Amino acid sequence: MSGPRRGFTFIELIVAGVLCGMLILIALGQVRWAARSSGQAARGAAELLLAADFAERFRNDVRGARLVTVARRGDSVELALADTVVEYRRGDDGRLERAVRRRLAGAAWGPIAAGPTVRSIHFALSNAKPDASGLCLLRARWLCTADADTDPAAPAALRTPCRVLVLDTALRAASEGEVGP
Amino acid sequence: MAFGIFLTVLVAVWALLGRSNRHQELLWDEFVAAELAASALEQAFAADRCELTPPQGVPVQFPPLSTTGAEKQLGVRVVLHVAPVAGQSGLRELKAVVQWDQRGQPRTLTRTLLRRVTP
Repeated sequence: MSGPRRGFTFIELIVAGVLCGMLILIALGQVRWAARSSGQAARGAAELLLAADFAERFRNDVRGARLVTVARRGDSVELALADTVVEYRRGDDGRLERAVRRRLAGAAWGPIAAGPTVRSIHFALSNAKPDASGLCLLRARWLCTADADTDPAAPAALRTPCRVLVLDTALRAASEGEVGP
Repeated sequence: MAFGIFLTVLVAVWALLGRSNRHQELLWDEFVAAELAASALEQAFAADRCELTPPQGVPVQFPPLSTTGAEKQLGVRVVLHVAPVAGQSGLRELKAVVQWDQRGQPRTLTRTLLRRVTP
């Protein structure tokens, strides 16, 4: 008569090891996914704050502009204020840039602030000549992406959707000749 | 038991991240809607004339808000109301109402502005 079996067989140990390994792999994958997702959420919040800050700055700059010059392709705009010129454009790193320059001949562009990540930007003056109210309308259309690291090839669930910001701002021109093409 | 704990943690993290992404989406939608409302008011402010609108308002047209499939379609509707201000003949109240759909729930955002007109 045989007594109670002690220990595990080799097969049982192999199966238990494989199961533990699978669990550890799945857990590590989940940790990586959680870290990546929370990082995306944080970046999205940061992009939102930047976009809100830049939208407010842009509207303020436009309201104070005395001369507006929109680039022919509409990808940048220069706003001449009392003693400075402010340019909004898309930088090489895909971020919206606000560059400031003193209104002096040959002055280099001064401080450049990096804004939200944008896939595209477009500026347009709705009417080059101010109407009877003496107001023009400058339209900015920014295609913001909530995640700078969004990979277009990533699954849709991992991609943060883009938002189109429309920033129409009325501006008063001192004379019609001061409004750029 | 270990597998149960693992599943519980997994579901909790998934729910937390899902909620966080949803909050972020909501904030972005609110922000975009607020800028659209401000844009509608600026359009009305810059317009040559400031005509009164019918009580139901007039829809404000914007260029397409989506150009590629990757962008999110907000499905927004912007309506402008222009009404006289009681007791102030030289003032008009401009009100922009933005409506959009937030995951099946209708949401509304309103912004107002006063404009002086010559009687």
